[in-house]
Amino acid sequence: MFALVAPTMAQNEEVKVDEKLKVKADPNVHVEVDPFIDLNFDPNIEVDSDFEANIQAFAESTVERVFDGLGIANLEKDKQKNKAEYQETTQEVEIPLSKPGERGVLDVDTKNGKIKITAYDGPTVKVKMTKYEKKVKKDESAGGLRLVSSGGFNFEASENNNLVKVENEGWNDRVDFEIQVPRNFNIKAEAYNNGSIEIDGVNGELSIESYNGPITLNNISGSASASTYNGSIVAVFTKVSADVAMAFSTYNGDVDVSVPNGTKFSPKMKTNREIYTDFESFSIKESKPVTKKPAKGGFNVKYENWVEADLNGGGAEVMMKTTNGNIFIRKK
Amino acid sequence: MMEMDDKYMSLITEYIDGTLTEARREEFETYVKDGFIDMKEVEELASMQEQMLQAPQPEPSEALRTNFYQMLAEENVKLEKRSSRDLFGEFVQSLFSTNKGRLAFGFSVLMLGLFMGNVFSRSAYTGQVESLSNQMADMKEVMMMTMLEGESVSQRLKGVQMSSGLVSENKDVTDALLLTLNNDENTNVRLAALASLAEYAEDPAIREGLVSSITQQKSPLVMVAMAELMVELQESKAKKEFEPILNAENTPDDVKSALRQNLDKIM
Repeated sequence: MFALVAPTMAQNEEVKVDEKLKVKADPNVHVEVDPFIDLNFDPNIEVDSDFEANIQAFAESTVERVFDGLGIANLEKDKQKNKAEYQETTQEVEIPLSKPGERGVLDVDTKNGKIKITAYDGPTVKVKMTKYEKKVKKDESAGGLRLVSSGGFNFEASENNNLVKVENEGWNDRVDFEIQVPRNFNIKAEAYNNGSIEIDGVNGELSIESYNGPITLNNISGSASASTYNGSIVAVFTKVSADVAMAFSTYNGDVDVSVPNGTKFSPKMKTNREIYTDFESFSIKESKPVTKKPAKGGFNVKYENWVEADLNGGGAEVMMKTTNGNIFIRKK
Repeated sequence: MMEMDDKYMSLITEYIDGTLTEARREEFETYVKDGFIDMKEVEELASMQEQMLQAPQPEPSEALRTNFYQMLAEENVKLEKRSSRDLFGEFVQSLFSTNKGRLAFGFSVLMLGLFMGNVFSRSAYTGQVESLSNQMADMKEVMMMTMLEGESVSQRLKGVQMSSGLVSENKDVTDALLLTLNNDENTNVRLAALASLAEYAEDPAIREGLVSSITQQKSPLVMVAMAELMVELQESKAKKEFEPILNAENTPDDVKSALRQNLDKIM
């Protein structure tokens, strides 16, 4: 319900900036958002229970309005409003493999931009980059000098013995990656700002890290380690490698893992919220309180705040950690 | 009684018995002539001896026989009354003289032998078990160290998970975990190492390691997890370690505020 409230605010309306909303007006469009925003200014509004987990989305939309008010260009909004402001430059590269048909490794690293990797049945790695840069306007100037360019592509790709490295060094300009890899590939992907990572259909070992952005692993098979800060982690496995340790961690966001019926592992979970599952054979190990004698004397009893359980009898340890979010273990 | 010396007695006895040799007869007669041996007394001795030999031997009377058995019975009764004192004797008797006794004795010696053997070999056994479990712990440690160097994230995760049982006994393991916490390129591996070490944070050496680890962290997740741990431990030394992170420009604002929220809870 709350989501309905924000769009009703007209574009030209004077937006009152909530004092608790900390936003740094950074000309480099480096959006920093304080997730701990006080939301309750209308007691009649029902707050959706998933709301706080989706705070990123809300914060971003509010920030856009603030930016509008302040007159600073905002990337996504301007794209829709006025395509001429920002231009998208696209480049496509096809990287051949030293040993096509054999398993390879993809290492993608970007500081600004999202990553989308899709499995396909082919022998090469296809990389499509979309760079967002300010369109050169005739009257743009800085101290008498006119703007001619936003600096070129800062991108590097290499292949060595089936190890494919793709890197975007720059912090300023956003570059989105859309990559196609052969189905049997291991992936190491790192993103930071505007850093949502999506992987589809790959079979292999995935190691995914981001900061501002959700991680979505769809129909993958093998094993995964995923970590982000602002964003939820959703992983849907068609097959989980037996006896392989995995880990999923975030701060603001849910950890939502779906595995096929019969998968065995031992989740070790920690959250300030709740843990949900629809598996019947899910048994929580009793946590014994740890009694210690502190050096200064006195008495100290501590309950370990990790919840350890066995799924379908148990197996390798799978760490699932979040702070402001729930943990879901679903039957695929 | 006699005035004569003992040395003469042997001569006298032989004379009475008639067993004097020629040389001794001369000696005897010499002593008689010289007055050392008194013939009269010798003859008295001889006649006394003859009387003794000829005296009738008295037969024991029937009464004596009856009396004897009666006295014997009385004696037996007295013995039975004193049987407790002789129980051991009876026991030993029954043990060695009867077949059952001998069997029981042999059997109990066997049992004793078995028991002793067990007692002595048990200490050897526990020694073996101890050395075996030490070997196993060593093996586990080697495996864990190897896994910690693994190329794949899941190997290193497993290495950290394996080490959680060994930290309390082993400084090498603790050092390896701290190294992982400070240097691993993967956030999840570092988080797992932190979770393993946090269980033993009461140990001053480990706590010190954790506090110095704060400035080595780059990932916001690990930084906030460490701040949360420091709140739990109420470790005031940690506050100053977080200063450079709080002041750094490239630390995102939301991370800074999450850290501050936690650090404020440390008294």
